[in-house]
Amino acid sequence: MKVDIESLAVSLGGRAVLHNLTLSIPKGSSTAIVGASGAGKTTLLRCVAGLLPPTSGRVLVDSREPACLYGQGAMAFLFQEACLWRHLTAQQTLELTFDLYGRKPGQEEVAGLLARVGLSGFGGYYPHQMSVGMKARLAIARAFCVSPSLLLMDEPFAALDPLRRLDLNRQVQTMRLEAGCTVMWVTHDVVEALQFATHIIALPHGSRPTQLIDLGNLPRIEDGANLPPEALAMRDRLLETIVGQHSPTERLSAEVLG
Amino acid sequence: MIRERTVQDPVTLIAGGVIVTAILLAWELSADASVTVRLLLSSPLRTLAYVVHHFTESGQAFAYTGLESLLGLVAATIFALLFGVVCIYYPRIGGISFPLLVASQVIPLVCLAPMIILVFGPGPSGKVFLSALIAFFPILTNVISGIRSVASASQEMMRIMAAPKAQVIRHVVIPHCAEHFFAGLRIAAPLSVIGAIVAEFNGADIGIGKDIFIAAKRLEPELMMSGIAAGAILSGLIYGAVLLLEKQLGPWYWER
Repeated sequence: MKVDIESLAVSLGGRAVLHNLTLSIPKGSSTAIVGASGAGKTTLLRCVAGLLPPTSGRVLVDSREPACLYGQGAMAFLFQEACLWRHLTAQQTLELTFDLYGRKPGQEEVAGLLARVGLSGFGGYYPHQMSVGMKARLAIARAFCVSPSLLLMDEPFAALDPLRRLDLNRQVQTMRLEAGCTVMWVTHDVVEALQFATHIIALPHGSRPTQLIDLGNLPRIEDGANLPPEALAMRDRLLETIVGQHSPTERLSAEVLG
Repeated sequence: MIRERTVQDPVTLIAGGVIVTAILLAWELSADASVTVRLLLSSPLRTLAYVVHHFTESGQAFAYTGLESLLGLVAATIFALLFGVVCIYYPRIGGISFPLLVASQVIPLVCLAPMIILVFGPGPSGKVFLSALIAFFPILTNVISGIRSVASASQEMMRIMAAPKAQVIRHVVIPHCAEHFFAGLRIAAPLSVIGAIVAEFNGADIGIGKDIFIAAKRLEPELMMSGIAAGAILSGLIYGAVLLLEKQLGPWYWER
Protein backbone atom coordinates (compact mmCIF):
# COMPACT_ATOMS: atom_id res chain seq x y z
CA MET A 1 0.00 0.00 0.00
CA LYS A 2 1.20 3.48 -0.81
CA VAL A 3 1.01 6.04 1.97
CA ASP A 4 0.68 9.73 1.08
CA ILE A 5 1.20 12.30 3.78
CA GLU A 6 0.05 15.71 2.61
CA SER A 7 0.87 18.93 4.51
CA LEU A 8 0.38 17.10 7.79
CA ALA A 9 0.45 19.17 10.96
CA VAL A 10 -0.34 17.93 14.45
CA SER A 11 -0.50 19.93 17.66
CA LEU A 12 -0.79 18.19 21.00
CA GLY A 13 -1.60 20.18 24.11
CA GLY A 14 -0.92 23.43 22.25
CA ARG A 15 2.54 22.28 21.09
CA ALA A 16 3.21 21.76 17.40
CA VAL A 17 4.55 18.21 17.15
CA LEU A 18 4.50 17.85 13.38
CA HIS A 19 4.32 20.73 10.96
CA ASN A 20 3.72 20.74 7.23
CA LEU A 21 4.93 17.24 6.57
CA THR A 22 4.62 16.02 2.99
CA LEU A 23 5.94 12.57 2.11
CA SER A 24 5.08 9.68 -0.11
CA ILE A 25 5.88 6.20 1.19
CA PRO A 26 6.21 3.70 -1.65
CA LYS A 27 4.24 0.48 -1.75
CA GLY A 28 6.07 -2.55 -0.35
CA SER A 29 8.73 -0.48 1.37
CA SER A 30 10.06 -0.84 4.90
CA THR A 31 10.17 2.69 6.23
CA ALA A 32 11.77 3.46 9.55
CA ILE A 33 10.80 6.63 11.37
CA VAL A 34 13.74 7.94 13.37
CA GLY A 35 14.07 11.04 15.47
CA ALA A 36 14.94 12.32 18.89
CA SER A 37 12.54 11.83 21.80
CA GLY A 38 9.48 14.05 21.38
CA ALA A 39 10.16 14.58 17.67
CA GLY A 40 6.77 13.12 16.79
CA LYS A 41 7.63 9.60 15.64
CA THR A 42 4.71 7.93 17.39
CA THR A 43 2.42 10.84 16.52
CA LEU A 44 3.22 10.38 12.83
CA LEU A 45 2.59 6.63 13.03
CA ARG A 46 -0.72 7.15 14.84
CA CYS A 47 -1.80 9.64 12.17
CA VAL A 48 -0.98 7.08 9.46
CA ALA A 49 -3.06 4.53 11.39
CA GLY A 50 -5.94 7.00 11.65
CA LEU A 51 -5.83 6.81 15.44
CA LEU A 52 -4.96 10.50 15.79
CA PRO A 53 -6.75 13.16 13.75
CA PRO A 54 -4.33 15.68 12.23
CA THR A 55 -4.66 19.37 13.09
CA SER A 56 -4.36 20.08 9.37
CA GLY A 57 -3.39 18.17 6.26
CA ARG A 58 -4.20 14.55 5.67
CA VAL A 59 -2.91 11.02 5.33
CA LEU A 60 -4.09 8.79 2.52
CA VAL A 61 -3.45 5.08 2.27
CA ASP A 62 -3.95 3.95 -1.31
CA SER A 63 -5.95 7.18 -1.82
CA ARG A 64 -8.28 6.36 1.10
CA GLU A 65 -8.63 7.61 4.64
CA PRO A 66 -6.78 5.18 6.99
CA ALA A 67 -9.97 4.46 8.96
CA CYS A 68 -11.52 3.00 5.79
CA LEU A 69 -9.12 0.06 6.18
CA TYR A 70 -10.31 -0.87 9.67
CA GLY A 71 -11.77 -4.34 10.02
CA GLN A 72 -10.58 -5.52 6.62
CA GLY A 73 -7.28 -6.91 7.80
CA ALA A 74 -5.50 -4.54 5.40
CA MET A 75 -3.82 -2.69 8.28
CA ALA A 76 -2.14 -4.07 11.40
CA PHE A 77 -0.55 -2.16 14.24
CA LEU A 78 2.03 -3.49 16.69
CA PHE A 79 2.05 -1.33 19.83
CA GLN A 80 4.86 -1.01 22.36
CA GLU A 81 2.95 -3.47 24.56
CA ALA A 82 1.95 -6.74 22.94
CA CYS A 83 -1.71 -6.05 23.88
CA LEU A 84 -2.52 -9.74 24.06
CA TRP A 85 -5.83 -11.00 25.35
CA ARG A 86 -4.86 -12.22 28.79
CA HIS A 87 -7.60 -14.85 29.06
CA LEU A 88 -6.75 -16.56 25.79
CA THR A 89 -3.97 -18.99 24.90
CA ALA A 90 -1.71 -18.34 21.90
CA GLN A 91 -3.86 -20.60 19.73
CA GLN A 92 -7.12 -19.05 20.92
CA THR A 93 -5.65 -15.58 20.27
CA LEU A 94 -5.05 -16.38 16.62
CA GLU A 95 -8.45 -18.10 16.31
CA LEU A 96 -10.18 -15.03 17.73
CA THR A 97 -8.24 -12.75 15.37
CA PHE A 98 -9.37 -14.80 12.39
CA ASP A 99 -12.88 -14.76 13.83
CA LEU A 100 -12.89 -10.96 14.19
CA TYR A 101 -12.02 -10.71 10.51
CA GLY A 102 -14.83 -13.12 9.67
CA ARG A 103 -12.63 -16.08 8.82
CA LYS A 104 -12.71 -19.63 10.15
CA PRO A 105 -9.15 -20.96 10.19
CA GLY A 106 -8.19 -24.62 10.16
CA GLN A 107 -6.07 -26.10 12.93
CA GLU A 108 -3.18 -26.39 10.44
CA GLU A 109 -3.39 -22.72 9.51
CA VAL A 110 -3.13 -21.62 13.15
CA ALA A 111 -0.37 -24.13 13.87
CA GLY A 112 1.47 -22.97 10.74
CA LEU A 113 1.29 -19.34 11.80
CA LEU A 114 2.60 -20.20 15.26
CA ALA A 115 5.41 -22.21 13.68
CA ARG A 116 6.38 -19.27 11.45
CA VAL A 117 7.03 -17.09 14.48
CA GLY A 118 8.79 -19.86 16.39
CA LEU A 119 5.95 -20.64 18.78
CA SER A 120 5.37 -24.28 17.79
CA GLY A 121 4.33 -26.21 20.86
CA PHE A 122 3.32 -23.06 22.73
CA GLY A 123 -0.24 -22.88 21.42
CA GLY A 124 -1.65 -23.70 24.85
CA TYR A 125 0.31 -20.98 26.66
CA TYR A 126 -1.40 -17.97 28.20
CA PRO A 127 0.29 -14.54 27.95
CA HIS A 128 1.34 -14.68 31.61
CA GLN A 129 3.23 -17.90 30.89
CA MET A 130 5.21 -16.33 28.03
CA SER A 131 8.40 -14.29 28.01
CA VAL A 132 8.38 -10.76 26.57
CA GLY A 133 9.94 -12.13 23.38
CA MET A 134 7.28 -14.82 23.00
CA LYS A 135 4.56 -12.23 23.51
CA ALA A 136 6.12 -10.10 20.78
CA ARG A 137 6.21 -13.14 18.48
CA LEU A 138 2.55 -13.85 19.15
CA ALA A 139 1.72 -10.20 18.43
CA ILE A 140 3.53 -10.55 15.08
CA ALA A 141 1.62 -13.75 14.30
CA ARG A 142 -1.63 -11.98 15.12
CA ALA A 143 -0.69 -9.07 12.86
CA PHE A 144 0.00 -11.43 9.97
CA CYS A 145 -3.16 -13.53 10.48
CA VAL A 146 -4.86 -11.85 7.56
CA SER A 147 -1.80 -10.80 5.50
CA PRO A 148 -1.96 -7.05 6.04
CA SER A 149 -0.98 -4.68 3.24
CA LEU A 150 0.21 -2.09 5.74
CA LEU A 151 1.98 -2.95 9.00
CA LEU A 152 2.66 -0.17 11.49
CA MET A 153 5.01 -0.81 14.39
CA ASP A 154 5.57 1.53 17.33
CA GLU A 155 8.75 0.10 18.86
CA PRO A 156 7.17 -3.26 19.72
CA PHE A 157 10.59 -4.78 20.46
CA ALA A 158 11.97 -1.93 22.55
CA ALA A 159 11.88 -3.99 25.75
CA LEU A 160 13.90 -6.86 24.26
CA ASP A 161 17.62 -7.46 24.32
CA PRO A 162 19.55 -6.60 21.09
CA LEU A 163 19.81 -10.22 19.92
CA ARG A 164 16.08 -10.86 20.22
CA ARG A 165 15.32 -7.54 18.60
CA LEU A 166 17.54 -8.45 15.67
CA ASP A 167 15.85 -11.81 15.39
CA LEU A 168 12.32 -10.36 15.47
CA ASN A 169 13.20 -7.56 13.05
CA ARG A 170 14.49 -10.21 10.62
CA GLN A 171 11.30 -12.17 11.16
CA VAL A 172 9.12 -9.17 10.35
CA GLN A 173 11.13 -8.29 7.24
CA THR A 174 10.90 -11.89 5.99
CA MET A 175 7.15 -11.86 6.49
CA ARG A 176 6.95 -8.41 4.84
CA LEU A 177 8.67 -9.73 1.73
CA GLU A 178 6.47 -12.84 1.68
CA ALA A 179 3.25 -10.85 2.13
CA GLY A 180 4.45 -7.92 -0.02
CA CYS A 181 3.20 -5.44 2.54
CA THR A 182 4.35 -1.93 3.38
CA VAL A 183 5.91 -1.60 6.82
CA MET A 184 6.32 1.65 8.73
CA TRP A 185 8.08 1.44 12.06
CA VAL A 186 9.33 3.71 14.78
CA THR A 187 12.80 3.24 16.21
CA HIS A 188 15.33 5.16 18.25
CA ASP A 189 18.11 3.06 16.80
CA VAL A 190 19.62 4.56 13.64
CA VAL A 191 21.74 1.47 12.95
CA GLU A 192 18.69 -0.78 13.25
CA ALA A 193 16.92 1.50 10.78
CA LEU A 194 19.85 1.28 8.34
CA GLN A 195 19.88 -2.49 8.70
CA PHE A 196 16.23 -3.21 8.06
CA ALA A 197 14.68 -0.23 6.28
CA THR A 198 14.44 0.51 2.58
CA HIS A 199 13.50 4.10 3.42
CA ILE A 200 13.99 6.31 6.44
CA ILE A 201 11.91 9.24 7.61
CA ALA A 202 14.27 11.38 9.68
CA LEU A 203 12.26 13.70 11.87
CA PRO A 204 14.60 16.63 12.15
CA HIS A 205 15.92 18.70 14.97
CA GLY A 206 14.51 22.25 14.91
CA SER A 207 12.73 23.61 11.86
CA ARG A 208 14.56 21.71 9.14
CA PRO A 209 12.41 19.96 6.54
CA THR A 210 11.64 16.30 7.15
CA GLN A 211 13.28 13.99 4.68
CA LEU A 212 12.39 10.62 3.24
CA ILE A 213 15.71 8.97 2.54
CA ASP A 214 15.85 6.12 0.03
CA LEU A 215 18.41 3.55 1.14
CA GLY A 216 18.27 1.71 -2.19
CA ASN A 217 21.92 2.45 -2.95
CA LEU A 218 23.16 1.36 0.43
CA PRO A 219 24.85 -2.09 0.56
CA ARG A 220 23.07 -4.75 2.59
CA ILE A 221 24.11 -4.59 6.25
CA GLU A 222 24.52 -8.00 7.87
CA ASP A 223 26.25 -6.90 11.05
CA GLY A 224 25.16 -3.71 12.78
CA ALA A 225 28.47 -3.57 14.64
CA ASN A 226 30.55 -3.39 11.43
CA LEU A 227 28.95 -0.83 9.18
CA PRO A 228 30.41 -0.31 5.67
CA PRO A 229 31.71 3.23 4.94
CA GLU A 230 28.56 4.21 3.01
CA ALA A 231 26.39 3.18 5.96
CA LEU A 232 28.62 5.05 8.39
CA ALA A 233 28.30 8.19 6.30
CA MET A 234 24.54 7.73 6.18
CA ARG A 235 24.40 7.20 9.94
CA ASP A 236 26.31 10.45 10.51
CA ARG A 237 24.01 12.27 8.13
CA LEU A 238 20.98 10.94 9.94
CA LEU A 239 22.35 11.84 13.35
CA GLU A 240 23.07 15.35 12.14
CA THR A 241 19.53 15.65 10.88
CA ILE A 242 18.00 14.25 14.03
CA VAL A 243 19.98 16.00 16.75
CA GLY A 244 21.43 19.00 14.87
CA GLN A 245 24.99 19.92 13.93
CA HIS A 246 25.62 22.28 16.79
CA SER A 247 24.83 20.03 19.70
CA PRO A 248 27.73 17.66 20.44
CA THR A 249 26.25 16.44 23.74
CA GLU A 250 22.95 15.52 22.13
CA ARG A 251 24.80 13.97 19.25
CA LEU A 252 26.86 11.85 21.61
CA SER A 253 23.78 10.65 23.47
CA ALA A 254 22.07 9.85 20.18
CA GLU A 255 25.12 7.84 19.13
CA VAL A 256 25.01 5.98 22.40
CA LEU A 257 21.33 5.29 21.80
CA GLY A 258 22.12 4.20 18.26
CA MET B 1 -1.21 -16.40 44.59
CA ILE B 2 -0.70 -14.62 47.89
CA ARG B 3 -4.29 -15.27 48.88
CA GLU B 4 -4.00 -18.98 48.04
CA ARG B 5 -0.76 -19.39 49.91
CA THR B 6 -2.15 -17.64 52.97
CA VAL B 7 -5.19 -19.91 53.16
CA GLN B 8 -3.36 -23.16 52.40
CA ASP B 9 -0.31 -22.55 54.53
CA PRO B 10 -0.53 -25.11 57.41
CA VAL B 11 1.44 -22.88 59.77
CA THR B 12 -1.08 -20.07 59.25
CA LEU B 13 -3.98 -22.49 59.78
CA ILE B 14 -2.50 -23.93 62.97
CA ALA B 15 -1.62 -20.49 64.34
CA GLY B 16 -5.15 -19.24 63.59
CA GLY B 17 -6.68 -22.31 65.26
CA VAL B 18 -4.53 -21.88 68.37
CA ILE B 19 -5.44 -18.18 68.71
CA VAL B 20 -9.19 -18.83 68.33
CA THR B 21 -9.08 -21.75 70.80
CA ALA B 22 -7.18 -19.62 73.32
CA ILE B 23 -9.75 -16.80 73.06
CA LEU B 24 -12.68 -19.21 73.46
CA LEU B 25 -10.99 -20.90 76.41
CA ALA B 26 -10.26 -17.60 78.13
CA TRP B 27 -13.86 -16.52 77.54
CA GLU B 28 -15.25 -19.79 78.94
CA LEU B 29 -13.01 -19.64 82.03
CA SER B 30 -13.81 -15.99 82.75
CA ALA B 31 -17.55 -16.70 82.40
CA ASP B 32 -17.18 -19.56 84.92
CA ALA B 33 -15.31 -17.28 87.30
CA SER B 34 -17.45 -14.15 86.96
CA VAL B 35 -21.23 -13.73 87.10
CA THR B 36 -20.96 -10.34 85.39
CA VAL B 37 -19.16 -11.87 82.39
CA ARG B 38 -21.74 -14.67 82.32
CA LEU B 39 -24.65 -12.16 82.40
CA LEU B 40 -23.22 -9.83 79.80
CA LEU B 41 -21.32 -12.12 77.43
CA SER B 42 -22.49 -15.63 78.32
CA SER B 43 -19.88 -18.28 77.39
CA PRO B 44 -19.05 -20.42 74.34
CA LEU B 45 -20.52 -23.62 75.79
CA ARG B 46 -23.68 -21.90 77.05
CA THR B 47 -24.12 -20.22 73.64
CA LEU B 48 -23.62 -23.56 71.90
CA ALA B 49 -26.16 -25.21 74.18
CA TYR B 50 -28.61 -22.39 73.42
CA VAL B 51 -28.18 -22.85 69.65
CA VAL B 52 -28.69 -26.62 69.92
CA HIS B 53 -31.80 -26.08 72.02
CA HIS B 54 -33.22 -23.43 69.65
CA PHE B 55 -31.82 -24.95 66.48
CA THR B 56 -34.93 -24.47 64.31
CA GLU B 57 -35.43 -20.79 65.22
CA SER B 58 -31.70 -20.02 64.95
CA GLY B 59 -31.51 -21.87 61.62
CA GLN B 60 -34.53 -19.99 60.25
CA ALA B 61 -33.06 -16.62 61.28
CA PHE B 62 -29.74 -17.58 59.69
CA ALA B 63 -31.36 -18.70 56.44
CA TYR B 64 -33.60 -15.64 56.28
CA THR B 65 -30.80 -13.12 56.79
CA GLY B 66 -28.58 -15.16 54.49
CA LEU B 67 -31.13 -15.02 51.70
CA GLU B 68 -31.64 -11.27 52.16
CA SER B 69 -27.87 -10.65 52.09
CA LEU B 70 -27.34 -12.85 49.06
CA LEU B 71 -30.19 -11.22 47.13
CA GLY B 72 -28.84 -7.81 48.12
CA LEU B 73 -25.35 -8.73 46.94
CA VAL B 74 -26.64 -10.13 43.65
CA ALA B 75 -28.76 -7.02 43.05
CA ALA B 76 -25.81 -4.75 43.88
CA THR B 77 -23.58 -6.71 41.52
CA ILE B 78 -26.08 -6.57 38.67
CA PHE B 79 -26.64 -2.82 39.03
CA ALA B 80 -22.92 -2.06 39.42
CA LEU B 81 -22.11 -4.06 36.28
CA LEU B 82 -24.97 -2.47 34.35
CA PHE B 83 -23.73 0.94 35.38
CA GLY B 84 -20.22 -0.06 34.27
CA VAL B 85 -21.55 -1.10 30.85
CA VAL B 86 -23.45 2.22 30.59
CA CYS B 87 -20.17 4.02 31.34
CA ILE B 88 -18.51 2.16 28.44
CA TYR B 89 -21.27 2.83 25.91
CA TYR B 90 -22.14 6.34 27.14
CA PRO B 91 -19.05 7.74 28.88
CA ARG B 92 -20.76 11.12 29.31
CA ILE B 93 -23.57 9.59 31.42
CA GLY B 94 -20.95 7.85 33.54
CA GLY B 95 -18.94 11.05 33.87
CA ILE B 96 -21.97 12.99 35.11
CA SER B 97 -23.50 10.40 37.40
CA PHE B 98 -20.34 8.97 39.00
CA PRO B 99 -19.48 12.12 41.03
CA LEU B 100 -23.12 12.26 42.15
CA LEU B 101 -22.91 8.66 43.30
CA VAL B 102 -19.72 9.43 45.20
CA ALA B 103 -21.41 12.45 46.82
CA SER B 104 -24.38 10.27 47.82
CA GLN B 105 -22.02 8.20 49.95
CA VAL B 106 -21.69 11.01 52.48
CA ILE B 107 -25.08 9.93 53.85
CA PRO B 108 -24.36 7.10 56.29
CA LEU B 109 -26.52 4.33 54.90
CA VAL B 110 -27.17 3.09 58.45
CA CYS B 111 -29.09 6.35 59.07
CA LEU B 112 -31.32 5.53 56.11
CA ALA B 113 -32.35 2.17 57.56
CA PRO B 114 -35.39 3.40 59.59
CA MET B 115 -36.70 5.34 56.59
CA ILE B 116 -36.19 2.38 54.25
CA ILE B 117 -38.05 0.03 56.62
CA LEU B 118 -40.80 2.63 56.90
CA VAL B 119 -41.13 2.78 53.12
CA PHE B 120 -40.77 -0.94 52.36
CA GLY B 121 -42.43 -2.33 55.49
CA PRO B 122 -41.16 -5.10 57.78
CA GLY B 123 -40.93 -7.69 54.95
CA PRO B 124 -37.72 -8.81 53.27
CA SER B 125 -37.75 -6.20 50.46
CA GLY B 126 -36.44 -3.38 52.67
CA LYS B 127 -33.62 -5.59 53.96
CA VAL B 128 -32.62 -6.64 50.47
CA PHE B 129 -32.72 -2.99 49.38
CA LEU B 130 -30.47 -1.77 52.20
CA SER B 131 -28.13 -4.73 51.76
CA ALA B 132 -27.84 -3.90 48.05
CA LEU B 133 -27.39 -0.20 48.75
CA ILE B 134 -24.43 -0.84 51.05
CA ALA B 135 -22.84 -3.46 48.80
CA PHE B 136 -23.34 -1.50 45.56
CA PHE B 137 -20.74 1.21 46.01
CA PRO B 138 -17.53 -0.82 46.57
CA ILE B 139 -18.36 -2.98 43.56
CA LEU B 140 -19.13 0.04 41.40
CA THR B 141 -16.00 2.01 42.31
CA ASN B 142 -13.81 -0.99 41.58
CA VAL B 143 -15.57 -1.72 38.28
CA ILE B 144 -15.18 1.93 37.22
CA SER B 145 -11.50 2.04 38.19
CA GLY B 146 -11.04 -1.24 36.28
CA ILE B 147 -12.67 0.22 33.17
CA ARG B 148 -10.57 3.36 33.44
CA SER B 149 -7.36 1.37 33.70
CA VAL B 150 -7.90 -0.63 30.49
CA ALA B 151 -4.87 0.11 28.30
CA SER B 152 -5.78 2.48 25.47
CA ALA B 153 -3.48 0.54 23.11
CA SER B 154 -5.62 -2.59 23.57
CA GLN B 155 -8.73 -0.62 22.73
CA GLU B 156 -7.08 1.01 19.73
CA MET B 157 -6.01 -2.39 18.46
CA MET B 158 -9.63 -3.55 18.64
CA ARG B 159 -10.63 -0.34 16.84
CA ILE B 160 -8.27 -1.14 13.97
CA MET B 161 -9.79 -4.61 13.84
CA ALA B 162 -13.23 -2.94 13.84
CA ALA B 163 -14.24 -5.34 16.60
CA PRO B 164 -17.85 -4.94 17.75
CA LYS B 165 -18.26 -3.22 21.13
CA ALA B 166 -19.55 -6.45 22.66
CA GLN B 167 -16.31 -8.22 21.65
CA VAL B 168 -14.24 -5.35 23.09
CA ILE B 169 -16.10 -5.71 26.38
CA ARG B 170 -15.76 -9.49 26.35
CA HIS B 171 -12.10 -9.78 25.37
CA VAL B 172 -10.54 -6.54 26.64
CA VAL B 173 -12.67 -4.90 29.31
CA ILE B 174 -13.94 -7.93 31.26
CA PRO B 175 -10.60 -9.78 31.53
CA HIS B 176 -8.94 -6.52 32.52
CA CYS B 177 -11.63 -5.54 35.03
CA ALA B 178 -12.12 -9.00 36.58
CA GLU B 179 -9.45 -8.40 39.21
CA HIS B 180 -10.94 -5.00 40.14
CA PHE B 181 -14.50 -6.37 40.12
CA PHE B 182 -13.67 -9.24 42.46
CA ALA B 183 -11.74 -6.94 44.78
CA GLY B 184 -14.93 -4.90 45.10
CA LEU B 185 -17.09 -8.01 45.47
CA ARG B 186 -14.89 -9.32 48.30
CA ILE B 187 -15.41 -6.04 50.18
CA ALA B 188 -19.12 -5.99 49.36
CA ALA B 189 -19.82 -9.58 50.51
CA PRO B 190 -19.59 -8.91 54.30
CA LEU B 191 -21.14 -5.46 53.80
CA SER B 192 -24.28 -7.05 52.34
CA VAL B 193 -24.70 -9.04 55.59
CA ILE B 194 -24.19 -5.86 57.64
CA GLY B 195 -26.84 -4.11 55.51
CA ALA B 196 -29.40 -6.87 56.05
CA ILE B 197 -28.72 -7.10 59.81
CA VAL B 198 -28.91 -3.30 60.31
CA ALA B 199 -32.18 -3.23 58.40
CA GLU B 200 -33.51 -6.02 60.65
CA PHE B 201 -32.67 -3.95 63.75
CA ASN B 202 -35.28 -1.48 62.55
CA GLY B 203 -38.15 -3.90 62.27
CA ALA B 204 -38.30 -7.53 61.23
CA ASP B 205 -40.37 -10.64 61.88
CA ILE B 206 -37.38 -12.95 61.67
CA GLY B 207 -33.63 -12.71 61.19
CA ILE B 208 -30.24 -12.45 62.89
CA GLY B 209 -30.64 -8.67 63.34
CA LYS B 210 -33.98 -9.12 65.06
CA ASP B 211 -32.46 -11.74 67.41
CA ILE B 212 -29.56 -9.46 68.36
CA PHE B 213 -31.91 -6.49 68.86
CA ILE B 214 -34.26 -8.50 71.12
CA ALA B 215 -31.32 -10.01 73.01
CA ALA B 216 -30.01 -6.54 73.86
CA LYS B 217 -33.44 -5.41 75.07
CA ARG B 218 -34.15 -8.55 77.12
CA LEU B 219 -30.56 -9.06 78.27
CA GLU B 220 -30.30 -12.56 76.79
CA PRO B 221 -26.53 -13.00 76.31
CA GLU B 222 -26.81 -16.47 74.73
CA LEU B 223 -29.18 -15.18 72.02
CA MET B 224 -26.92 -12.16 71.53
CA MET B 225 -23.77 -14.24 71.13
CA SER B 226 -25.42 -16.82 68.89
CA GLY B 227 -26.66 -13.94 66.70
CA ILE B 228 -23.18 -12.42 66.50
CA ALA B 229 -21.67 -15.83 65.69
CA ALA B 230 -24.34 -16.45 63.04
CA GLY B 231 -23.60 -13.06 61.43
CA ALA B 232 -19.87 -13.82 61.37
CA ILE B 233 -20.41 -17.29 59.89
CA LEU B 234 -22.78 -15.87 57.28
CA SER B 235 -20.27 -13.19 56.25
CA GLY B 236 -17.56 -15.83 56.02
CA LEU B 237 -19.74 -18.11 53.92
CA ILE B 238 -20.68 -15.38 51.44
CA TYR B 239 -17.06 -14.25 51.28
CA GLY B 240 -16.05 -17.87 50.63
CA ALA B 241 -18.66 -18.17 47.90
CA VAL B 242 -17.15 -15.09 46.20
CA LEU B 243 -13.67 -16.63 46.42
CA LEU B 244 -15.02 -19.87 44.95
CA LEU B 245 -16.60 -17.92 42.09
CA GLU B 246 -13.32 -16.08 41.50
CA LYS B 247 -11.51 -19.42 41.42
CA GLN B 248 -13.66 -20.51 38.48
CA LEU B 249 -12.01 -17.91 36.24
CA GLY B 250 -9.12 -20.27 35.62
CA PRO B 251 -5.33 -20.19 35.43
CA TRP B 252 -5.07 -16.99 33.33
CA TYR B 253 -6.52 -15.14 36.31
CA TRP B 254 -4.93 -16.95 39.24
CA GLU B 255 -1.43 -17.53 37.92
CA ARG B 256 -0.86 -14.13 36.33
